[in-house]
Amino acid sequence: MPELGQAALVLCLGLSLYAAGAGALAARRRERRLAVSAGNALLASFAAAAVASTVLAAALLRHDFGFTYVADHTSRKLPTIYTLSAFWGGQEGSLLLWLLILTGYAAGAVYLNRRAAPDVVSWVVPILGGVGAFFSFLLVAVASPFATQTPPADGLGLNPSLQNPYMLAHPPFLYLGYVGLTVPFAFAMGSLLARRSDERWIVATRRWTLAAWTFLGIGQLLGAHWAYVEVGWGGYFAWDPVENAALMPWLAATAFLHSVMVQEKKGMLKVWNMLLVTLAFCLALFGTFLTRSGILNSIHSFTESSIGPWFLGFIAAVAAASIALVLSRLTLLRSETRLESPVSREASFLYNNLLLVALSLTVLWGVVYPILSEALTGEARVVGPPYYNFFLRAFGLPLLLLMGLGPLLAWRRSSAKGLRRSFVWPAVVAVVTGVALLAAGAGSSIPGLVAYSFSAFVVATIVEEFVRGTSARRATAGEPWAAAFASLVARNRRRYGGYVVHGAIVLVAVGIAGSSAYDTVRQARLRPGQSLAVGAYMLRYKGWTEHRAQNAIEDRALFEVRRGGRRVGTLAPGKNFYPAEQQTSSEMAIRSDWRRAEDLDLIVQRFNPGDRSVQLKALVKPLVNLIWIAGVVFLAGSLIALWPDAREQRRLALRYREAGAVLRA
Amino acid sequence: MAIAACLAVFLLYTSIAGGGRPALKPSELAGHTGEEVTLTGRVAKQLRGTPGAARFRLHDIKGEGAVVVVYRDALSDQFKVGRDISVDGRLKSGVFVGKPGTMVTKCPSKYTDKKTT
Amino acid sequence: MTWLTLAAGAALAMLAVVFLARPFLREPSPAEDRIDGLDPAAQRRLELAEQRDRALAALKELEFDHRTGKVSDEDYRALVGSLRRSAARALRALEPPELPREPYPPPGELDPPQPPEIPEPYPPPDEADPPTQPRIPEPYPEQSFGRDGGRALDAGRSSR
Repeated sequence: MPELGQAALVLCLGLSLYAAGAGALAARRRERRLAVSAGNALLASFAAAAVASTVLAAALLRHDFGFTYVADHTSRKLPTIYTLSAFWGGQEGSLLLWLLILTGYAAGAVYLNRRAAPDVVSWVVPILGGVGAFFSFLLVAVASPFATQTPPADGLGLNPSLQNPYMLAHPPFLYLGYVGLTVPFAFAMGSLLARRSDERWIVATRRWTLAAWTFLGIGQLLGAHWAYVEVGWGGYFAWDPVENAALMPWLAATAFLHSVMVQEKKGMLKVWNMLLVTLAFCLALFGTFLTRSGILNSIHSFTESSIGPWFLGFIAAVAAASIALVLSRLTLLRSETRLESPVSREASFLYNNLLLVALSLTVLWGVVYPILSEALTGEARVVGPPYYNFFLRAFGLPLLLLMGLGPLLAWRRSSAKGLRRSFVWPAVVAVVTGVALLAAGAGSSIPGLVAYSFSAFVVATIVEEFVRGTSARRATAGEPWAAAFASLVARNRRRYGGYVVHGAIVLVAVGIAGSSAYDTVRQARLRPGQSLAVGAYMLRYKGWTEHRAQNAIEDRALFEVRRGGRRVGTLAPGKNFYPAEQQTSSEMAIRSDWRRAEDLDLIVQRFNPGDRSVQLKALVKPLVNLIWIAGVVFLAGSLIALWPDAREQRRLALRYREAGAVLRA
Repeated sequence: MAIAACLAVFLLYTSIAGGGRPALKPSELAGHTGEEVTLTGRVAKQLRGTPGAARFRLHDIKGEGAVVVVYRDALSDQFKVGRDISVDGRLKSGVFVGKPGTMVTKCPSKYTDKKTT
Repeated sequence: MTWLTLAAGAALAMLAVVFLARPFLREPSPAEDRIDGLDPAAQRRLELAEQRDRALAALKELEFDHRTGKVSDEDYRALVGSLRRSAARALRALEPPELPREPYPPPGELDPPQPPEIPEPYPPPDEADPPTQPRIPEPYPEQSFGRDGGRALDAGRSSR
């Protein structure tokens, strides 16, 4: 069986190489049948990757410990769903998942666009084939999931803290995002290679980019939520290199999503977009390199395998080739309009891009700093959360404000009068909110207060946009409010879906501000009967119990929670000890107070058997649940923006037909 | 363009001005007495500590250096002999005093992360 | 197990080869074997079509922004003229009569009326001309970018 898997991988490699080589030849010589053949190779590579994946999945489900990979990552007692998730739990399997998604996306993108722009697609095929060949090569030669051994009696099992639904979904979502960025990159480069100067590639990849970006965002939120509820330190993001690895491409992709809108509407920023899509793709590759190479001191560590240099080489090659291509095609990328005013919507998009890219690059700088400083000075130096938090505030707060300002500005230029009219109400809301919060004691953190005020501003502008749009529609179409609202959104899905997504980002910003700028942390060692005050809560330690479950010994410390003198409940944080895996996991207790919008988190750091005391860490985190709720809003907004619009499709089809650009079926 | 240039200058400045903390292995600690650094290594042996202060010997992950570390905070659940950790702190009189709340324990298996505090 | 694996592997490989050869098997000697690309004329037309769509979309967006109060009356008056002119220019540039005239745009509606045949070297109309030449009616305040907006201009019925 493992031989079949390995054979499928070799086949995938061969097919990818064919797609790359024959595809490039066909594109260059403009030979149709060869190009179709290369496209078929791409489709077939997906089938081959699927076969390899099925072999691995079957081995996992069968508990076939003859597969080294299966033995290393599962055990007999592991629940089935986690056995299956072990597919992506290790280096080799996660690479296979990447390959599967990559070939799947490649097949889909090429198949769906095969008639739309055959000349561009003829170049997209070799690019996607090349990337597929790289990953197939890694799987065949460097990190194969199909290594075999004499089967042990039982496997090593999965770390219990990973046996969590959020951790189950986190990697697939991230990969759907990372890999998804390959498609717009391939189409952008393909468009240049085909010497096209039009925006077809943007139209073709718009939804892919949006979908990939959404997956990447949701994947990060899932990881953050897991970190919050499972890891037991009361936080959700630590600026660890591996967390940054997902953040950097996401920021670049956010910038790209916005600047591509400017290119579509104004014909500007063409070179910038080419470079930006390359940056996003390279950061995605770099991100996965970071998590695998063991090159950085991170609390996530895969294995320090030899895979690192391969990735670095590939990223360098991709970056160099892309930049060379862009430089050689500069004449195709001339702007059609100029920026007329620094106070215009184009300008605000530009500022947004600069801030996002700057933030992404500062994070990148912080991540590679240890490597660079060691190379240059012989001594590795690391930067910590203060560095990242400083830049998050420096760039993030203006970005927050810009989310509100941008929609208020008109294209080309905004006059003072027009601004005043749109500005007034949201600005008033922001100032009033700021003053009210200041009175309520939020002055303890200036960045937090600023974040809250800016958020209020943005929410006010979003509401204003929806209200004005709906009433305009009512006035012209005579529809009642609800119908007007619905048709407004339906006819402008990208705009209003985008506003909903902005709303989600505001929720995240408020959640982060609340839970990091206004939180309370207390630590103490408590003997039975002793109490600890944290925030407005009083915690009384009653004692600790031990319970033997099927595969774990569960120690729980009982706490009585009082607020304002009244008893509001009991919490039982503690630890689980798993004898089979010899692992301990922290089981924190979280009490979410929805009315007051805060979480009370209790973490037992240590049980002291001598006097039955516990080392407790208690945190009060205001507004933290907004971050998770924001995820749902984010998804909703993206879906609205993604939703196919028949009207728009017709218009586009007409455009291409007219230009004689769509050819025989 | 101008903004990008400013940013680039700022970043270069922070790097040249020596931003960040040195990241060292036990064998490299020698010349850094008193300086705040991030120490990374593998737990070799747990030593007798006092209540509230754990004491253990930390080795280079790949190499020969070793140092005794004192850490006045709770150890993470993942802490064990043979695991890799990193902790901020200073070398004082030949003993590395770890800063509470800064120890990060790496778990040997893939995909895990365990932070203390 | 091994011979089954071998057979499966071989079968897969063969399937793949057949699939790759399929285009050549289906058309052993085709009439022509070129990838349909865009010749420079078609490329130019596409760019012009994109410019036209861009100009019309900008016009509609300006209308919408004006209607929702984001753009004041003076700003609107200042901007709409040049936008209409660029839209007209783009429409005119796409004029060549040999192009198949699909329902878009309905003739006589969005088409600028043909200027009289003027022999060179009469200078073409420029920016400063009052925008009476190309008659572009008030774009429908519909916020869709679809062609229905054009069709609906006929009867003024509200489109869906």
